[in-house]
Amino acid sequence: MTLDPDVLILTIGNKAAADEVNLEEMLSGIGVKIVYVDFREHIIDNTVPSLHILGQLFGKEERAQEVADFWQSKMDAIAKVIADNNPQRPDVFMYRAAGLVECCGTFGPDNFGLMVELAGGNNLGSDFLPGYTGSINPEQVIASNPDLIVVTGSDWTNSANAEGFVSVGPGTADGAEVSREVLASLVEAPAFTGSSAVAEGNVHAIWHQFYASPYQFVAIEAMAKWFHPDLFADVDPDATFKEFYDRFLPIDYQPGAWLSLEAGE
Amino acid sequence: MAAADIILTREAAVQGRGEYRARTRRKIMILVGLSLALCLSFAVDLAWGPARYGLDQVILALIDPDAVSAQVRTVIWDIRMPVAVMAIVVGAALSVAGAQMQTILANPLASPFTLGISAAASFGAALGIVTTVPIIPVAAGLIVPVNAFIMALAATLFIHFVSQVRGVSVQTVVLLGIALVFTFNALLAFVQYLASEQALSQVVFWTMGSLTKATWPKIWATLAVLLIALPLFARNAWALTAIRLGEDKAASFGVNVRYIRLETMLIISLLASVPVSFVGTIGFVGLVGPHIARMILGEDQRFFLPGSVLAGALLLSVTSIVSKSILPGVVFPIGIITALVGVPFFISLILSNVRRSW
Repeated sequence: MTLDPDVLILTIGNKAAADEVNLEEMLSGIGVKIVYVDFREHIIDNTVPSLHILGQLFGKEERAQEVADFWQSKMDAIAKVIADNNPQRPDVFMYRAAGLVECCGTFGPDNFGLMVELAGGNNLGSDFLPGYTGSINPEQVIASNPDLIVVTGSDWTNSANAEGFVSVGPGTADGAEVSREVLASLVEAPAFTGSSAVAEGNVHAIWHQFYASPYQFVAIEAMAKWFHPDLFADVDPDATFKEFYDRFLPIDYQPGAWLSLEAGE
Repeated sequence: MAAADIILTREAAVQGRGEYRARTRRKIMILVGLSLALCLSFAVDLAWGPARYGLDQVILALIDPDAVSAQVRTVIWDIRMPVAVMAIVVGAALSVAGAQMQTILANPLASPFTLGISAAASFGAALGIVTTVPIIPVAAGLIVPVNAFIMALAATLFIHFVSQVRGVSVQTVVLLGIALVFTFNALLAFVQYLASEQALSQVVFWTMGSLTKATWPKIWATLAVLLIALPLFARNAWALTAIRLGEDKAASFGVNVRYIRLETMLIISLLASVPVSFVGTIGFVGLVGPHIARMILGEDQRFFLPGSVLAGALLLSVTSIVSKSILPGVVFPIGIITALVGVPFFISLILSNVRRSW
């Protein structure tokens, strides 16, 4: 309030807490409006409207339209390939925030779980978890025998209690060799004993922060390419992400938001 | 007439001796029954899980681990076994801790949970998770359990030394324990309020108690404490039984009450804090395990002590089975399930026990 803002932007997750204290009424009394955006809870329905809201707020509605169009075109392209070919969906285990959360944290039917489905995979966590995150029994991972394992990671060097995380994300490409070693040791956990994913080398890591961003289409492209290399042979997520950076972001593209256990893939 | 009296008394004595022997035999049978139930529960815990292996596979994996596939071996030995053993060891340790707290504080409400020891451990753990500040310098991976242990130990010793102050009654000690519960819960909430979302969810998970963090070093450490504690308690069995008659009576029998209480409290502090620091808050078993043992076996420490061990271990072992059966593929934090499993049984025991057990 001392900053005298015009608008307070909140993520939708804070709405319940804000409503409880009647924040909207309280702030409108001093001329502050609340605006909710969401890039996390309902990634398909809310991302484009959230972009438009931000565009309106900053008077850049055309620019927001361009971003939204870009987002939509990339999402549609993947959805079309999946719909046209209706490929067999591989079983995918999303190992959520490995190194920060004990095995086997994963995603339910939303967020990364939904991204897996959109990329043409079958998210194992959706069968067991009602919410969008949670942990499943390591033994269940063995019983489900995933075809692919995708670990989410980030540079959690400054995070308390983080140990053995896979450092992926913008600008981490130089540390890829170390990250691969970490990834290799992560899938030695009991939960992955004898899984087809490990046997076939279908183990990958992806930037955890895709979970709360408007960049989901990049993550989905990368995963679609892992799940169905033949169908998406001509898709280049790296180029997509670079194009997005070049067109819309004020900073240069830094690769490294994902990697595979087997280099050169 | 005098001669007849003596004969009558002799008959009464013979009869009494027979009754005593029958009662002892019955108690031994109850202990054997509890042991068998525990073995059965342990076997089911090992055989049951989302990977539906046949009994033949499980037994073969146990007898000859090299004869089964790597997956079966991993599931039985690396995933199910540590949890199943940890359930038993932790259940036994917490139950015995609660049993002896009730004995020396002469209060049926005493347990690691109700006297604030678990709350203290939770606060220590939360401090470790959120601020990563170790209370004593230790390796990074050990901050959480060591912090939890130190806080739990401090709480136990605080309760003990306050209970030694002249004029402090056992009721006061229980009230103090409840004050500790509130204090540490407030401190815990304070730390939670400052925590990041990630750390917060870790703290919440920790305070719910979970056996999935079981590893062999943790099992050995808890077992070691249990194996040190039980012989010491057994050696003091008669003295502890006498203390239940009242401190003055015990003292008149020649029991050094002060010394026994100090020794017992120190052992309890280890028994209560070590498992809690490893598996988080598991509240119910330390209160109810000993009550179940007392109701079916009575106050005599020779039966009450092993009875508490078995009742606590059985309660947590059954809970372990339930916690992985509610939702397939998901393991519920055992702290949530313990009370749900134990309460119905406990209430039925209270209501069916016409004889007052406390």
